[in-house]
Amino acid sequence: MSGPYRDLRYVRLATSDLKKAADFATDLVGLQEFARDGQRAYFRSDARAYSLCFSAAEKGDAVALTVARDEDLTAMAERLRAEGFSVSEFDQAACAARKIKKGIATSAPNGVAVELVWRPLTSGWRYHGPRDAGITEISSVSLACTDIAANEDFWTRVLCGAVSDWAGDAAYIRIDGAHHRIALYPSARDGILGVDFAVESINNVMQNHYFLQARQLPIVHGPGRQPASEKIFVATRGPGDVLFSYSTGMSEAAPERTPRQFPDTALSHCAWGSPTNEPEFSGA
Amino acid sequence: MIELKDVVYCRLGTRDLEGAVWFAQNILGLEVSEHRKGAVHFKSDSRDHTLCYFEGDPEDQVTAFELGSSADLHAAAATLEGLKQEVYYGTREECEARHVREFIRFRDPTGNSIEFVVRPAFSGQRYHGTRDAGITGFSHVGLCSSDLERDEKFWTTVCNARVSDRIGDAPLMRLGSIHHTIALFPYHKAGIQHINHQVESTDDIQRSTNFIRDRQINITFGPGRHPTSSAQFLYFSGPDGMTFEYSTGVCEIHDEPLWRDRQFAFEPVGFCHWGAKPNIAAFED
Repeated sequence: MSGPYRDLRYVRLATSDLKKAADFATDLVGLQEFARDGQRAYFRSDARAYSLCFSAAEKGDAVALTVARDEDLTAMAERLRAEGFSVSEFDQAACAARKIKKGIATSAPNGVAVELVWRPLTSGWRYHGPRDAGITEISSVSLACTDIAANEDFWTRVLCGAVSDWAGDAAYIRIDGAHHRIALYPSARDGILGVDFAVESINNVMQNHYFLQARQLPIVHGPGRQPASEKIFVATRGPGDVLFSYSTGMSEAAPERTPRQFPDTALSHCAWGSPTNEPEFSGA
Repeated sequence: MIELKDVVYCRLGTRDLEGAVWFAQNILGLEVSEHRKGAVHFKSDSRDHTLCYFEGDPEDQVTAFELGSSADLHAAAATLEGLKQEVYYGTREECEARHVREFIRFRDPTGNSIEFVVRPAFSGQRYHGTRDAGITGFSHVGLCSSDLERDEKFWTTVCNARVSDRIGDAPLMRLGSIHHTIALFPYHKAGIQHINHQVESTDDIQRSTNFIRDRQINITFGPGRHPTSSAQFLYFSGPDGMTFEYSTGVCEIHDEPLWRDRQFAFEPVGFCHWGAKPNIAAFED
């Protein structure tokens, strides 16, 4: 079982400089601004109203998963409380700020808020970014965890995600038809490690690679291929030290297959041997 | 018309044979097929050999093409002599060294040393490289040209090459269905501009990028993708400044009558549609 979820809906990142973060999202990542007020800026990568939100209103970062039915919210709230996690239900203002009908929030062991949302807003318009970055959707989010075991237990046993594979102790968690939407990495810190946007093809990954390079942005990992999911990727660093990456070719979920254990080496994070200074991708 | 079947090998003179052999094996990933006195042959596919380094002048560079028969070879020699090109007939020993039945050598209008050969040897052994570079075979050459229009005419009217596309005035020409087997690039003197080996996949291009960079070998262009042939590529420098290329995914042209040669810009965007910029003299204005 991999939970009652429809998709990875959005990622919300706290920022103290909304304008700078918003400029990064549009001018560099290539996302399309959906809406902005004094507190929050929303960005589109696909048919959703938004998949990334920069917020000056919230202190912490959040990851949201969509559930299919109202009852799923009730059931998950009960389940979380039974496991000893505190659960809050969003009031009308909180739902409006998230552009959802209804939702609940809890906190993962690494301190990232996990929001379960019902009836999130879809835009009737297709995504059209300011440049041709080739983005097709938000693909996955990676989380840095000081206590990897507690976080894996939370995302699997409590939230009903399933491990697709491990690279060392890093765990790729699936919640829908994709190899993973959540990637958990053992780390010296807690929080959101990165946000990954799917692009059409390797052409877009490499074009974005040269685009970032030409703008003097650090290439922190890649161009590379993640052996477990087979996705081709390139990553840079954005506001708040969060990694922003483009990827293509992530394999589909294979629930019948036993999760594979890849060795705890850098080559388990990039089969092409691209150099990286990120400890999360460097192996033991 | 001289009917060329395929490009079969390159021969490169070098003053440091040992160094060139080390590079060909350990960096390029070729397999030594034969050591001869003063020369080493390399395999990249099921042919006997596709590259030879020999002790000699680094400017002594030869590209060889296969012809269908001995009669074709002699007809070609007569055609070239009719064009006032000096034709040299290979001796028995030279044929043996090249593993061909017969060959002639001449210079193209720019002065590139070209051999036409008959019955080049295949080998029963498959290629097994020193490192896993994913090479599937020697595929094409870039030749320097001091007059692109004149040389294009030679390769397309005296010989059977067809222009698939042009980057500026540089023609990419096919002999069979593969997008190009011979490409001409502007340069002030004769020589091989680059030697291409095909690799299996994107992974091979990108793994080699990191492998080659880690070994401090100069990457001159890429990783990138040619908008002309759609091939993903990597160019890097070898012994005596020779440019080697790996590529994968070159397109094929099967519908000869329907294909229209396209004009691309002689600018970085004409060479790469990922945004890589060449650091190769013959690819720059």
